[in-house]
Amino acid sequence: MKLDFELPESIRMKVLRSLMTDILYCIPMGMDVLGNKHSDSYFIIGEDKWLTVQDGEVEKVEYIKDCSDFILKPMIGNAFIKCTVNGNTAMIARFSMTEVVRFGYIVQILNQMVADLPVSVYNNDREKTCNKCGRILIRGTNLCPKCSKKGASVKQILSLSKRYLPFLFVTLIIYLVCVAITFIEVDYYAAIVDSCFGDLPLPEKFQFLAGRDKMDIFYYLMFSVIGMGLLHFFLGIVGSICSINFTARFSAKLRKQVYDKVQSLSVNYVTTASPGDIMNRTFSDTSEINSFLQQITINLVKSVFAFIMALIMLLKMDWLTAIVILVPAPISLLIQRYAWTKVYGKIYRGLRIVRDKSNSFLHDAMSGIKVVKVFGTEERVTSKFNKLSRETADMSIRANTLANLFSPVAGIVMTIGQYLVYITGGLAIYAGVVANDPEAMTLGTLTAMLSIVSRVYEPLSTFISMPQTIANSMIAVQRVYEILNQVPEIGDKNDSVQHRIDGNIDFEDVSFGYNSYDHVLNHINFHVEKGEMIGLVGRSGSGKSTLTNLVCRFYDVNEGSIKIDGVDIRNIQQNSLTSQIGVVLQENFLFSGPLYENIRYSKPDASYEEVIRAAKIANAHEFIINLPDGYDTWVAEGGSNFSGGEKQRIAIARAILSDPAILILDEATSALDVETEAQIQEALQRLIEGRTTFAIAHRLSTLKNANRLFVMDKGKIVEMGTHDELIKKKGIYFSLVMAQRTMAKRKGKTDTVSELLAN
Amino acid sequence: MSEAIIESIDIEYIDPKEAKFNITTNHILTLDLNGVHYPCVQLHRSFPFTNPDKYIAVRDDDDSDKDQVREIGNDKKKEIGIIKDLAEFDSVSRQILEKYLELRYFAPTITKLISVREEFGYRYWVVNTDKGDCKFTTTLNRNSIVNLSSSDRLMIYDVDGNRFQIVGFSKFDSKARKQIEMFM
Repeated sequence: MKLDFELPESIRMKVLRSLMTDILYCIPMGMDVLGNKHSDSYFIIGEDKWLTVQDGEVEKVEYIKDCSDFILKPMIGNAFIKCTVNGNTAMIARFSMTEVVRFGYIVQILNQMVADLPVSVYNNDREKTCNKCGRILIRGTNLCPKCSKKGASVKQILSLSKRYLPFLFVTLIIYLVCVAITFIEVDYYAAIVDSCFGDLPLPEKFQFLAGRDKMDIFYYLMFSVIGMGLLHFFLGIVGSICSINFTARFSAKLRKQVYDKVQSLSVNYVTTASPGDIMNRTFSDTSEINSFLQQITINLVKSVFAFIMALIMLLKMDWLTAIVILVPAPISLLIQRYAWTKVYGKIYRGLRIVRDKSNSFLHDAMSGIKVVKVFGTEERVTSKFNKLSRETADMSIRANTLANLFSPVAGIVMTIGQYLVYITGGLAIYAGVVANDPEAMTLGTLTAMLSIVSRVYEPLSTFISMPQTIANSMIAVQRVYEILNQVPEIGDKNDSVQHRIDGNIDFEDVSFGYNSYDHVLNHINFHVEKGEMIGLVGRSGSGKSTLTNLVCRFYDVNEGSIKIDGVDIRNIQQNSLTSQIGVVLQENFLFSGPLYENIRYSKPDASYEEVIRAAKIANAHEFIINLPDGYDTWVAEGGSNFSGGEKQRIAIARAILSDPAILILDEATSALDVETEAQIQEALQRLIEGRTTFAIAHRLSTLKNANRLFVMDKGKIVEMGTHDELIKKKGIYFSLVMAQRTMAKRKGKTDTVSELLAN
Repeated sequence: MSEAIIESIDIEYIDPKEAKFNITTNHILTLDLNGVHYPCVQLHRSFPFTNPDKYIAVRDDDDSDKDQVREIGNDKKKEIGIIKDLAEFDSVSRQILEKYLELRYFAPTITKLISVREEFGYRYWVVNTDKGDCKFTTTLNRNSIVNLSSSDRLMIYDVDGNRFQIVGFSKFDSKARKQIEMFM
């Protein structure tokens, strides 16, 4: 991330005069302290001073040594740097949230300079926007969707379809042959009218039939037309099969690619993107791309071909009538274009929006049906839904009315075209008859021309809707392209190794924040021996879960390193690492499917016997065997047919099967009744045996077996030791135990805390 | 019964006569209340959209002990009290509080929509605001524009966490209004 922006020369001179040293860092603030937007406002650090520039003038200069405790204070929609200047607290710079990450680094730098430490910041945040055009870059890359080669997205997605192109090619050829057949038929119809029903000589291409009986000629021509019709019909079927093959295979491949990519991306990406968005990209967008490929290949080529063929034939038959036919075309084009861009697009978009709203509302109301029932708010919910339904209905009526209004208008233009052909064609025939001109237009030609008229107008609607269709599809193409080009933030390097974990863990000066400017963990150092159980204690938000997330490498540390058996976890293959770590959470997720599949989720090849053994160790066998379907019980979506304690035990069985070297228990026994907790504690005790374990618990009694306790506060380990040591120390842990004991007494229980104190 | 429960907890309101707010030249809000001096306090609106001038929490924001370990569960940055209504304060105090609230809650008001276009999964806006001309980017997610139904106000959130508002949306330029309504 850029921390040294160029200053305009005039400002630079003023700054250098004030600093009297070189400029080390320079960041635009974008606004003054009153919030007014300014392009010429900067925060600058020199070798021993910082200064601010407002409106091109140096505003404030201070020696860094006179300041201390620099803090980044995110507010609402803006942020400040706060510090102590000569003993007084001050807000020294105000900036928009766009610059907040940069200022996070600036604060780190200033604090290091105050402490006389060498400046070392792990500047691993990427720029978010393209420095050429300002568009948002594709996440995790430096690729701008606009500047990085035009058409790259389409090209990349087309390249995925390469394997299936033969299907597409065959489809296209077949459809073109079909179009050609419909034009060939026209000559046959003209010949039937002119030479079978009338007395005109056969056209040149049918001269081989000359001299035959009129009925023979009629049968020959009719059967040929029927034959062509049948051929057209069968080719149509083959074309559809090829087209379906192409779209289905290509869709499947594209979806697989998107799904694989999503799976490979870090927890960070998946948790920040909404599941709905990811699902849309996997399903709706890939379908959209599919129809886009069909549109631009099959439909467009077919329409262009048909239009050109019709035009050539018309001009060949009678150029004057051809021109007359073409006159209404631009009018039809304009009407349809207006309908598409001004009317349909907006109305249908509006319709989609109100539909979405009612669907979301319905989804919400259904998910929270219990709450609705408990508070008896059915009427309120129903009336709100009715209101949304009415809106949807109104919008739908408007949309359909307009659609029905415009379709006939476009149709009328086409009919006018036909009337014009009748008039000009009729007049030409009449003139020919009067002048006895054998070259004049015939009735057959007029019939043929009438059948071609619609084929001139039909492709027009495809041409009109094409830009809209392509525009819509391009959004889908871009969205899919964006996801396919994401670079996983956490991935294996070329030299990453498979590592058989023993269980020794070291945190070496680890700092981490979900936002790099806002550290959740600060300079964490510890060593954990193989098989040790560590209890993590501290209030919510103190960094306990974050610490365990880092052990699983869901995120990479911002500073420092985590080592397992002396190997930096960034050098261990992700798969190898996670397969040797077991996690039991407070809320465990069960997948829809048979229960035994859920247990052997961590080891798909586990035998039935192993599954039962694991369930027994996890104290889960008892309740499972009492279920009517035993281990074959179907788990409903989200495991909703199991209680919290049951899910917990299934999760423990799952962890047992995976035989992890490192175990993480995150509030694994909270929110359970005493009896269930005892059963789970017992199961956990069996599981923990010999494994390096991190256990997070608010109820301190659950950590009584821990070898050591780490007490965390504000991202730091503030106390470390055994239970007895920490009680003797009378620090935070002691007060926490006391607080829980008081609470337990209030409840009138002889709680485990007192037992714990007695231990 | 429910009333009794609700009344069992008190809201500590700040007495406008007892409280003296001040903004230092360094843009820090201080408070003197009942003989106690708070060198740095922060204002948190309870209902920033629907009732921005009422129920404003005043919280201690002194970071000077940031490196010291505090007792767990005993956060020093506690709530000092709640301002029931800004209107209860005299004009000088009110001005100070309003000025500080403006510092904390920053959401330029859009006065004119110059253009908005959708590209590559994002929406790019060019607007005039009361704080100057501005360009920003939002996602296509409907939640990036929040319509607060009880007030005629829109809040737009950009990809970086900046906020922009439209006050009096029903009176906003009709073409722009229709365009924005499509995104909601």
